[in-house]
Amino acid sequence: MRWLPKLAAPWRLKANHILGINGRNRDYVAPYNDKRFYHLVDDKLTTKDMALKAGVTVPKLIGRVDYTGQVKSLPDTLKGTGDFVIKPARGAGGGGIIVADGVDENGLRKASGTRMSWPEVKYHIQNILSGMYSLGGDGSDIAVIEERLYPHSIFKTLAFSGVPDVRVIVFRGVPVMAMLRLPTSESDGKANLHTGGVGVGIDLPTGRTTRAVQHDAVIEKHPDFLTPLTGLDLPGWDDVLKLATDIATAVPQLGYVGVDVVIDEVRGPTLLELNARPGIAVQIANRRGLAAPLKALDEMDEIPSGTQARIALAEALWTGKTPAPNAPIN
Amino acid sequence: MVRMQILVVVLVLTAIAGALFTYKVTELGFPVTPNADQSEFYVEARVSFTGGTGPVSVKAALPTSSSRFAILETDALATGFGVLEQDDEDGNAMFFEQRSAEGQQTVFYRVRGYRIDSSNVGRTNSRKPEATSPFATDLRRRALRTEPTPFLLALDDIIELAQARSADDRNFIRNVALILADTRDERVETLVEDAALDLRERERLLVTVLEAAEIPARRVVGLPVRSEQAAVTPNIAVEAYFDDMWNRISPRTGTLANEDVFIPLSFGDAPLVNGEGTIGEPVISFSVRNVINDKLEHALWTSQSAAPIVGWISLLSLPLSTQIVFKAIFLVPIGALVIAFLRQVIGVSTFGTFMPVLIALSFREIGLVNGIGLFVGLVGAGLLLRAYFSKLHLLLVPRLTAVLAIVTLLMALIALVGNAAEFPLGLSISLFPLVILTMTIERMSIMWEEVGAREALIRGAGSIFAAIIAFLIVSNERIEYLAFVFPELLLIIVGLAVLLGGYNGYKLSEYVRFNMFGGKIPAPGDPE
Repeated sequence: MRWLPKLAAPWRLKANHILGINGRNRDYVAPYNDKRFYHLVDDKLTTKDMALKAGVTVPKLIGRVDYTGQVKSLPDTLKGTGDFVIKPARGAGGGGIIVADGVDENGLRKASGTRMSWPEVKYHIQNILSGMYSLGGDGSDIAVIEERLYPHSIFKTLAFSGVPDVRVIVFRGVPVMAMLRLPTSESDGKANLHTGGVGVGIDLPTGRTTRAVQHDAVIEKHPDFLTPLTGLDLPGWDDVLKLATDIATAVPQLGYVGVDVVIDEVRGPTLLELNARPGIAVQIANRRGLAAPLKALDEMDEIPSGTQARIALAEALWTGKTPAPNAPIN
Repeated sequence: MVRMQILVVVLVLTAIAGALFTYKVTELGFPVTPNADQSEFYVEARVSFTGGTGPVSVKAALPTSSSRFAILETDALATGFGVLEQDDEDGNAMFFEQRSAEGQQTVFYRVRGYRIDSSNVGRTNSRKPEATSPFATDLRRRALRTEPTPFLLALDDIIELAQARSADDRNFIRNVALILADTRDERVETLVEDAALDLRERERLLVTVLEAAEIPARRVVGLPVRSEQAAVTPNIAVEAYFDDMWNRISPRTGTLANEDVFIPLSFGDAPLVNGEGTIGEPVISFSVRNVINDKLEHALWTSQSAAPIVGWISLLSLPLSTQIVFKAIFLVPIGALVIAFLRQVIGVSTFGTFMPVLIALSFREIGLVNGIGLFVGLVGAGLLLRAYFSKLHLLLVPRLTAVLAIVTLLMALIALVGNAAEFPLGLSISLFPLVILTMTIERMSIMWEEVGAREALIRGAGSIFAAIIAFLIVSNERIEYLAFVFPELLLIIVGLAVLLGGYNGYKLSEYVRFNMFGGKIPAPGDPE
């Protein structure tokens, strides 16, 4: 019977506090995330504004293309710029992103080494503007040109060609679980788990990696570099937690969010984007259920304010020293 | 709190539906299952015309009993009109008359009949009809002696040739038909080109020749009955009298065509409908529906006096063509519920919720295997095309338009090929599968580019899988019957959908996905 998929015993998932998609949608996304405010996270330009107001580090905006007509002046705008990234403002699943090393009169050099002529760049931006890479797949969009991020040198032998990021699940302003997402050759440089990226569980209080999964199965080494994936201490972890807490606190209308953070070589943890419907694969990477901390937070009448208090609560929830509801956190 | 409300809503909906259903079944005697007897059906005609200022009289051809079809009852729906049935040699007819009926008018008649099994086709005891023809043998011979026209010579030649080749009437008819089928034959050309008689129509030509050979024959306009159809177009056929009965023959080959059920409407050259005092000619259209259940018809009949409102709001009081549309429409929510279940509880990933339902409904029209083939083929072709257009650096919306146009052409091509191969695809090739196909192609190709081929194929396969499951449920005759006759049961569907919307448990697929949690996991804080 090897062809039959292995099934978890029905009662085990509940006993291990696993959160299913239906549970996520019905118990957390629907009651805590007001659909009217999705645009705050769906549009990267809006997110950027909010982040700057909240004092959260974001990649610097170089320019934006709103209309097809603006494409013509693009070579002039970008002349002299070093490296940059072109992406759709309301992009979905990391599609439509170009990472460039620089420009010359013929076109741009992609970070991967290949070249793109100006007509090709223009066509690509027109596709972005026509909404091809955007949520919903139709309508229109804006092309955003922003500073390129350089992943911390620790990721040199951990990320294949793309940018690795940390996904932190934050509920009611309190981080509950996090995972590192590493691009692989199979995922085509995207840090997306269902395209074959690697998810690495993180011990929330310390920022040390615990275990790794690819395609929902446990792996020991990075599939491309064969480097070990566990026991690594992520640089600037305290700032990652602080950033995740601050940006989530700045968007109280969305109570259950995924915060995607890139640990930049120079700038340290930098906000990449927010997600109002973060996936549940983080549980597999951490071998731990989301339902227990979420339920504990859901039952609290009031969440302590202040970044430090919230991070302390997050650590208490992680280590199992859950405070009684409404008990003061020292 | 929310949970309580959900429960109350579900209970109220179920109670209403249950009460109505129980009342209809126990008090009014509505049967719960369709009866399997498929031999009875209704023929409904809809006659529309514009009345002038004076009195109006419209004559519409009525079905006539034949060797394969017996009429049980006839009734008319024509408010304000006097209705009169009359039989003559042209067939039966119904007259709708009114002293003054100005403006647009629509009247209906309905005939209930049953098909006679072809093995039981009996001989009628009717008197042998006589062939009447100005070219009957003795008349023809006499005319040939005095004034031999090319027409008479050709006619005589054909009849003699056919008679020489055959021993009985049946063979004679076949030989005549075979000779006439060759339109390049000089004699046939002479007959067809005769100006006095309009013999360009194959059926009219055959009847003329057979009558001249003293075999009683007639041109018949009638309805071919295959299955339930929203619209049936009348056909022209030829009947010849031999072996003591009227036999329908194929004008192409001269062989018997009695196997199919054919409902004669009018004989000879009489039009199906004509009007006096109308502005322009009246228009008649026909539809054929199986009698779902004679007990149901009876129940409806009695409920008209017991509970007029039930009969009045019943969908069975709608015109046939509307009923057939509603039968399909009522299956949409049921299919959607199936998809919702597959998505929420089983964890099948599909492209949207309604696409698989609509795919399932189009399967219902072309059959499962053909449907899957058509779907996979067209979506595959569309994906290839889209990839090519993408290489041409086309923008999104015009590219979608181009894909849509080509998918339309492909569908037209398939319909043409299907028609040539006598494979009826026509009904299913309508606007809605076209739109769904194009949307599927676009959504699938965007997903292909963004998330990868794997996810796109999983979704595509999931959509087809869900459509197949939904098809198996909506194609069930009992379910179709229940949904149509007891529309209140849709309230239960609403209740089930509300229940499903409140489900926050695991999907079946998550038991597989999270199988690593099948054992005991150390609680937070425990040393690992």
